[in-house]
Amino acid sequence: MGFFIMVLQASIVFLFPALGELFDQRSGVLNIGLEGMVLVGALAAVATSDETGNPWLGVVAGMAAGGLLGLIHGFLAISLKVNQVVSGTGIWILGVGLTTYYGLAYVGPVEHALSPILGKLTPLFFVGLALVPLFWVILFKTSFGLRVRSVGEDPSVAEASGINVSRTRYIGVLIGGILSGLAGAYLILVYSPTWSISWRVPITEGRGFIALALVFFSMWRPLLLLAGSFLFGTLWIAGWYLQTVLPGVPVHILRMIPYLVTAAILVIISTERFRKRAGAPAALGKPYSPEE
Amino acid sequence: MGLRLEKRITVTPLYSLGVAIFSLVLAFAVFSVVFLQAGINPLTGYKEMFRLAFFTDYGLSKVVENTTVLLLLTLAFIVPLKAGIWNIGAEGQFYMGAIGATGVSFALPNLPLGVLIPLMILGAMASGGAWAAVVGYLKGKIGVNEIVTTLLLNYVATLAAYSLVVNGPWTCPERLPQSSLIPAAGRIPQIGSTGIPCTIFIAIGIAIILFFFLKKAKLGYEIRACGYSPTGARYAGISFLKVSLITMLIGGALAGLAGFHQASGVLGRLRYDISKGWGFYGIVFGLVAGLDPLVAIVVSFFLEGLIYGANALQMTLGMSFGVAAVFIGILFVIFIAGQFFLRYRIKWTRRRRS
Repeated sequence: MGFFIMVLQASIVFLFPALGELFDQRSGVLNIGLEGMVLVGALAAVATSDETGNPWLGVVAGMAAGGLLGLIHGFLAISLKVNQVVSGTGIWILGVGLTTYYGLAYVGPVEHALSPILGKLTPLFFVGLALVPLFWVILFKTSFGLRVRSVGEDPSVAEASGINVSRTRYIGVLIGGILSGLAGAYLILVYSPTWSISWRVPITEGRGFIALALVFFSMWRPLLLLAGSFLFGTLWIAGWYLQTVLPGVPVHILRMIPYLVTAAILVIISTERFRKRAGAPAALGKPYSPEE
Repeated sequence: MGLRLEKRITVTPLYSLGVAIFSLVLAFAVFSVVFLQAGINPLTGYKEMFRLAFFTDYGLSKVVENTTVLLLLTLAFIVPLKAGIWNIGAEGQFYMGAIGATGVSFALPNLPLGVLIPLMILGAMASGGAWAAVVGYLKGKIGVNEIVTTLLLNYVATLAAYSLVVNGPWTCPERLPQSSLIPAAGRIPQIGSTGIPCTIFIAIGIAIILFFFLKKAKLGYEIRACGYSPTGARYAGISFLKVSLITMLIGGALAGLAGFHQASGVLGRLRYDISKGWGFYGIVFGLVAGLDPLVAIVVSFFLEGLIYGANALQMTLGMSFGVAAVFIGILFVIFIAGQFFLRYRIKWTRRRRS
């Protein structure tokens, strides 16, 4: 039972940023800087929660901080038409830098973490679950979702039919940032309430990058993304859990499992069979400049 | 009046230098906020940064020593990107190189220096190269996203070093989280009495060779063709698989060489924290250098100096840990924003209403 709860908790850390990134990518913007946004969200959350004593204000601050970084990514990638990989790398490195420097004051156990409402689950867990159908409805059943997807498929056609490409994409990066920040808040206020700083292995431990891989895995569909989150959550916990079952195997070898399996899954879904069905947004990663 | 963007066709070197300097000055201006928050006069702070890095013997020798690592990691990023392939995995390849070099020295401890060092270099470059080449192959063969795979492999490589030296087979007799010492014959000779490993010359030499290789060699042309237009390159009969494999192999081998330098030339052993996030700095440096191997030499030295200086401020001005990381983050974001002015010209136009 404990294992199952841990898997559910771990899955949500992947689900939030991946869902935001899915939305972002559907509008044609790739953001590889998720890791940095999750980190900054976590720092803002722990700092606000510590200062005010109210973890819910921490959650709001985490979302705001993530959203702000998302907008910076948007400014670089949408307005300045910087290569999206470059811009995302910038967000990531800036995020790691800011959290390492400003996080020093908060090292240690978090004083005001979120308390659970059902068993060991906090409200944020259910928010995560609820967001999946909500995103599915928004993306596939509303005219707004249709606009987002058309901007991700062919921005010039979208523009010609009267859609504001830049504005739609800004909404995409904003949602991506807010959800990454929320993941950070969840990570530090619920999942593992001890703040530490390290440039080498920050508290996110690469989860932002696994979430990025998860979006590719989901073939840009929210429901598959939920399934993927549970799969990756299981892998994540399995690495830790197997230590108790296989005491002879070094713990660091077991901890490679989630990264290696993620890479293997990425290889499988890149093969011809899956690629045909995947339906990646056609304009993903391409800046839109109508004058060229 | 309205704004209109116009694409620049040509950019003079002087103009791009101007944009780079302007970005740097702007980054200094923004970073001043961090100094002010810490109660430090920014001018004092910057003076101290430059003094510590470039005008003290110890600082300068450390900067040159680290420049070796950063230049190689920058080149490890540049070469694949010339072909349009994003090697975000220099960090992991660096770890694999350090593991490879250390492993060779432990396996053959009784060889003379003249034999052991070349074998260690080979071991380092082969480990780093193979680690990256897997990604290059998958990218070229079935188009697996190389950004995500290299990032994931970074964690695997770091964990590999962990498992070797933290209560692992290579842990030193004192049971500290580091390996035993590399035998004396496996230590890189130093330049005179400076304490600087002579690998810096190898790194600079490689940068110069790569400059001409990318510009003049047939393979270099094929690499650039893939970077310019993958479709065009395919029509010209260039194998993307070959280019992807080779550029990642070169990139990984260079990062591996940097790992050899750090393990054998600086620390004398393998440590689990052998990199200070250098692989990621290589990405920043490579983009700041405009993917030019010669410019990379200057950029690596100068920016490493600033990073070293910022880190040293922790000692002299009592700044918190991680101050260099903030600086490099701010610099990078401003710098990439500045790139906009290299590609576009802003024109004020009279807006016509239809």
